[in-house]
Amino acid sequence: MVQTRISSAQFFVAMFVSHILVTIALNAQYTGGESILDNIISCLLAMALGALIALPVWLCMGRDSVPELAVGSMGKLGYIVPIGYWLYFLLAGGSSLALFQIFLMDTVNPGFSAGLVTAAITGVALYGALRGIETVARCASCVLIVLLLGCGLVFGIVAVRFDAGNLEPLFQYGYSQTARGTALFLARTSLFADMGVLLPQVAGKKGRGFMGWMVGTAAFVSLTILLISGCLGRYAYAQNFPVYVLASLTEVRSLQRLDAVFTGVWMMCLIVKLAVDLYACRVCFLSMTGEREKKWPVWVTAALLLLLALLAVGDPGVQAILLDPWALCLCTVITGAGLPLLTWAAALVRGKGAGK
Amino acid sequence: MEKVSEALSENKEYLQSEFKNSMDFMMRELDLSGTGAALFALDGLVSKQIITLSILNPLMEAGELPGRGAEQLRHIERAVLGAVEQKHESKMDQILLLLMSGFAVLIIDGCSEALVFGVQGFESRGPDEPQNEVMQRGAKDGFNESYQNNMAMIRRRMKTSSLKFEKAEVGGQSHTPLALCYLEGTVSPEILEQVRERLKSYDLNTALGAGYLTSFLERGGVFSGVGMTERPDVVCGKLEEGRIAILVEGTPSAIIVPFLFVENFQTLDDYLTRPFYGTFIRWLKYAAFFLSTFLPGLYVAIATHHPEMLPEALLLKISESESQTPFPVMAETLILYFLYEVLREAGLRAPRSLSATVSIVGGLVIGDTAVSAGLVSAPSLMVVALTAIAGYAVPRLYEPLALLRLAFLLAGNFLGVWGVMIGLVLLLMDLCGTDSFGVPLMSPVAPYNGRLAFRDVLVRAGWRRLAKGSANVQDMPGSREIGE
Repeated sequence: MVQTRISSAQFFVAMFVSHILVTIALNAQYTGGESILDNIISCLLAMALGALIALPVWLCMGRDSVPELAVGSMGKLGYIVPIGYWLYFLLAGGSSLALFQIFLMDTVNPGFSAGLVTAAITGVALYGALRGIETVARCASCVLIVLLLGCGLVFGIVAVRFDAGNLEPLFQYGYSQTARGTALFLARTSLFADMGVLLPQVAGKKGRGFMGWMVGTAAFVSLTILLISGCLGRYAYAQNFPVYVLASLTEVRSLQRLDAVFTGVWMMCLIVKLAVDLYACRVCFLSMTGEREKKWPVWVTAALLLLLALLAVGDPGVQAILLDPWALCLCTVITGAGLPLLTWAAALVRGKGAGK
Repeated sequence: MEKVSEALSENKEYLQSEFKNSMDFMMRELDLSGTGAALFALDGLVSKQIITLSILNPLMEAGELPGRGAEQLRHIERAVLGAVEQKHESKMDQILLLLMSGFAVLIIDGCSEALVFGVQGFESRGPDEPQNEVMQRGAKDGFNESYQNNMAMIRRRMKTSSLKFEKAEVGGQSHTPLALCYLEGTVSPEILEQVRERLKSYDLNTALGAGYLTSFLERGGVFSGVGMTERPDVVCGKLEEGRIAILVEGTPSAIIVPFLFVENFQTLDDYLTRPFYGTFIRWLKYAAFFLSTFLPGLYVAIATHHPEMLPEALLLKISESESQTPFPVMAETLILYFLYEVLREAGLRAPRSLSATVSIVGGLVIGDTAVSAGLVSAPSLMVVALTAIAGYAVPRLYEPLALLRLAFLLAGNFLGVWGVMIGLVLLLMDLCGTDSFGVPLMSPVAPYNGRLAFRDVLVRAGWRRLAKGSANVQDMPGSREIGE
């Protein structure tokens, strides 16, 4: 496997595109409260906590990725780190994919198999992961343009329906919703794990890129939530996917509803997220197998990802676990901060530094 | 027989046996001051007039020639003959190759070397206006089948000693000569070396056209990283940007490498008009590309799965038309598309006198009868027609577009707009993952470089701005040394 380098901007654009999924799939059921507006605070809190979670990754940052550093300093015991990352990417990817399929089945109800769509999405993501991080990062920048154009069009059109009277006071239902929202925002981002695995392949000013990602994401998410609240008011609470409803309201002279465009944008972002995660899985496998890379584990991972998503859709028990914000948030913290911290400590004890 | 023998009879015997049953083989025996000699050539490849004037006449009029064998040959070379292009050759396989390339060979008894003369005289087409790259304001001359003439056309436009033409040869049997053309000091040595390496990997026996070589130069992907042009002025522009042109004998077009995706949308006319119009035309071509690729797929997807996206009036019109046809939208569009491709191919291959008939019959049958008979609907026909016309706005991309359209049509039918979107991401992945000799195919858009993107991609800047800064292909973002 040739590990090519991408620029800091490319990496964080890919991460931005991946993270937008959280907003697109935001709903009252998972944020746990009636006031969608509170989620702006949740998002800002998640950003602040995210900066803290990412600290251990910066400690480990060097020539090697966290999994490589772990295997290098702990030997076979260090396999726990790449395996941990792999499991996390599987869960995070499966959760995003399952959520999309639930949306397709519950809200859109297309005339064809929703499973076929998710399988196609997984297939394209796998193709991207096999082509390499450069391919995915470049594709992400193109998707960003489509995303901005699509969202700009939808937001611009629905903005005329914005009514400040629909905005409710913050924290009127207490703080628990904000806490749950924060957990959700942290749960649905695999940025910290991706950073731990992929940052050595990123060239340029990473700190500035991370800051840009935080500011950009916070601005985008806040704007979307503000529009949902201002345009839909209490109606948003009753909707499974309020952003979708927002897009459905859109009416241009020649096109009456832009919900299909919105779904398309969601899918494109999902493909980028899954492709980055699957590529990160490749790096994890490589850290265990050494120089010789085998392609079958990533194929198996993609198949497992799809299987997990299909299972979650069919089984409410699995769905509850997979989509539970607290459980996934815990996984995010463990892989985002726990594993890098463990690796950093092990490397320090073994005198291997940070792989520099 | 590996080398030229000192015995003329052996050489004659060998060449005669090699060209046995070849009526174009010519041999003229001579007596040079008592020494036997023979001149060999292949009829049709050489100019008999040049042979007579620059070889035979001087030899006949030379009188007494001093020495024998090699000494006599050197005297003839220095003091007797007036041929411009002449050289010594001792290897028989080279002599055979030169004979078949339009050279005449003089062998003297007692000499183990032959004297070869460039006396090519085969007919070649004039530099007519290129048929596939018509320009409104550009020059009207285009490449022809002789790579030497093509080299001259480039040299006439670029009077610099940095312009190099490096000779190479491909094809085990055909020994097709070609010229690697580049500007020394501008071209990337790594890319040049890589081109040489890839040409060496050409292992076919023949190279009957430049198209044979392209598959050895490109590395997969839906869109090619190898460009072709019939225009010498376009080649000159590309050379200035550090690209390499390959002129292949027998092909009236040059291969250009590295070739980026955005170059498919650039024509010389863009640079000969004012910048704002050039930019407008550029965007028109981008729109035509998207229309040509996605329109049939989106039409089928929306009509089949997302009719709610259409305004009521349009939806009613489409459903009214569709209700009167026996086929579903997908089948209808597919049939129309196939019919169009069949007609296009027939129009292209049919004798010129018949192509007009093919067009009329096709146009009438499909355009009028099929609709009035209720076999296909007018909206589907319009979509396919619009797609076909839009495709010709970017003729360089016609081949990939023809297949992509079909793929998006199927994706749209089975997975609706989402299928088209998934296909779009797959296409983007393919585009973004392909490079042409280490330069990303999508450069300077992905990876992005604002200066270059706003120079000659998103806008066609004015010449004052184009003249500033480098536009060398090796400076494109994401370019790397090959093998890195």
